[in-house]
Amino acid sequence: MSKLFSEIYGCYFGIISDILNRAESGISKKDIDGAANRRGFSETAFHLLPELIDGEWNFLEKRGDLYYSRFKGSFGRPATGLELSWLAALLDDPRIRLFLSCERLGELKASLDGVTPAFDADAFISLDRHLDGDPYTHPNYIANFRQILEACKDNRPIVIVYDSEKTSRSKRTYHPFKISYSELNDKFRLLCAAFDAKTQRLNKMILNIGRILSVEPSELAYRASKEDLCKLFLEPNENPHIILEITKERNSPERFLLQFASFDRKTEYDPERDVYTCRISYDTADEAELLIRILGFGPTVKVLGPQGFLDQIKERLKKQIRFMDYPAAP
Amino acid sequence: MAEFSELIKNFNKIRDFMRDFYIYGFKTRADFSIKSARTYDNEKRRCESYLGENFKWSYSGGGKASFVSADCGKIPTNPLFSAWKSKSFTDNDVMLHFFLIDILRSAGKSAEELTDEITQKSGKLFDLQTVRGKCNEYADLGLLTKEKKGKAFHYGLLKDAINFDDEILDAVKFFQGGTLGVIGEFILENAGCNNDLFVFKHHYIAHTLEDGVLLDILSAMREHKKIEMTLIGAKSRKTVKNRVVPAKILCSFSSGRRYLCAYLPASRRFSAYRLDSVKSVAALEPFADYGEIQNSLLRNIDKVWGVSFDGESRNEKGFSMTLRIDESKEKHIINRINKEGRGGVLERIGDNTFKFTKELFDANEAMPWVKTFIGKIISFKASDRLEKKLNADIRRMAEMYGIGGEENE
Repeated sequence: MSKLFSEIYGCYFGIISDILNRAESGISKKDIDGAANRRGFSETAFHLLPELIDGEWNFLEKRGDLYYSRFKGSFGRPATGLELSWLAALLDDPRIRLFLSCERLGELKASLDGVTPAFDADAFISLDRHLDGDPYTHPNYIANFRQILEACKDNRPIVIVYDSEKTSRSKRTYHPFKISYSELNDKFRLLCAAFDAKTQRLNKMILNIGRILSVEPSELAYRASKEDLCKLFLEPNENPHIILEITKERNSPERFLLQFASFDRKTEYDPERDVYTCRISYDTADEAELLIRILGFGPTVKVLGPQGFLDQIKERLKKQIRFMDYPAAP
Repeated sequence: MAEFSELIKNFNKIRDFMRDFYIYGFKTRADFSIKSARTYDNEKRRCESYLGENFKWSYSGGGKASFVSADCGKIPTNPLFSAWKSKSFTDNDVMLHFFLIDILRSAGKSAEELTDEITQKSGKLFDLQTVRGKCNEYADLGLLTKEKKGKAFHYGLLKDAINFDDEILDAVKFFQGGTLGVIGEFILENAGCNNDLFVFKHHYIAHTLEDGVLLDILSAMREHKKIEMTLIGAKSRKTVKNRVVPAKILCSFSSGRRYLCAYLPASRRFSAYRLDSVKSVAALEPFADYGEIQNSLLRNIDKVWGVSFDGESRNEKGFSMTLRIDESKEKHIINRINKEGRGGVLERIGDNTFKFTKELFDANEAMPWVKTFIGKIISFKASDRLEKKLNADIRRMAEMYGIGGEENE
């Protein structure tokens, strides 16, 4: 614990380094404030700057309107033993090959020779990771992944041949945004947009990288802007929230709220009825998955809305009753 | 009254508050009655300061509730990492850090030389013991080299063993979303960059609050050592100490729970402890039969759905369920069973009819998964108790949603 929780990784030390580096050629009070606000916590500027500027540390000297570092040369610390041991633990992860060429991986292994890894991959057992994870060591997968990664970095369109589960094979130009990874699905997905010539709009697309057959650079001059892609993927979901009621049975509030912690949600407790109401914001693409996960909580979680979602729950229950011939409710 | 500080000395001080604000989100000041009102106010203020716009509040029936909310599929960096960057320090700590790095950039020096030079440059008197202590601390952290020259140790600034080029930093941007990811965040921050390439789905960001104890457990596991854990009971909130042999970390990526699966030599059995209940870990002596308990666990893990090695009744040996699946339209359900079924056997036993069978120590743990197939289950075979439980649950759900009433209309 003590190794991980150290002031050398702290936000204050980082901000001081930034300020000192910029103060080699002089920095204004306003820019010092800016550096603290950009990297610090909400109250950092208030607590740190008086110490840095007027305290006994003696790091800065004021000349005219600017502050100058009393040190020569910029501050940057070497990687710590803990950071090297974490990197050493990644060397055995097959996903490292998606990023490093064989040569680079060999160099990194040589550099980290003798460093004890922070963890061994076999120290962990996954209870429920899906068994159809992506083929991380397949040369074609690696080649596609790297092309996509570079396209994301350069913000340039790519032509992808895609083998969809639902439709047939397709070839289309996409504007990549970011790469999404799910530990549960053990899959990478490309978050991207496709331009619809008819509507003249960008459509949000999510492609399983494991189903991508090939990736080529696109000749298209048009590039979707980062702002448009951010708007498409990062703005709050517009569809109505799922509203649920959670009873205290079977430790359901704790189980449910932990399981759905990764969603943007709001929970309230009703002391009169002794139940919790939870509103979950969700992406339509996740609706089917949410539905079955909620069903898994049985009668301890009740869906109140929206109506379309509630209807799907009811439909499944009706089918179930017909299958198992449960007695009808009185 | 002591002045409020944004920073903290002890990580555990903020850990529980941050977790409660994030996971539960409905707790009001009164629900934190286990702590003093002043403690609550200070820790809430810290969380608010660390988490910025992700920290919110609302009024509910019970009063004003503060909570942390974030759509984890959209954020590039775990906002809870900020708790790991909040360690307090003294004036000596910060002055020695920057003066040491500055002086050692040019050449290695002894603690005596460093003490003189720092005192001269900073205008503050430092004693030799303090400077030597900091140098040794930094040598342990891997920031300084330490070698004996004559009678004295000489310290030098360690050169980076790694060239952090784009390839490595891209990898770090990805792996900071995984095990002990906060260390990746430290690397990125030190390199002056952040993750602008990846987002993470099914991402349980509260796991980072357990990273400190996880690191200690993993270290003991690598050295085959027993540990003494301090745990807080989930319901009783009482502190207990347990001496165990850490065997594996069990991770559920659907429920968000992580457990330490440990061997208890006294009772000669395995038990699972939620990592979020572990407050501290101290390594003890090595355990002689470490390899044997690992093998024993691996021999049995296939029959564990969650973390239980022992059902309520020895008769609860597993379950089977027969499902109606439209083979032409619902191939995705067959795929789902194959990827989620944890090695269970799926057989086609007739047109659009499939049977799934799985042998388990405790089939009760699989019941939430079984219920995800509501609408498809033709029959369910398990212990009498579990069959009745599933029937009762479905009946209650039907009543809850008024299904029976509609059927009768």
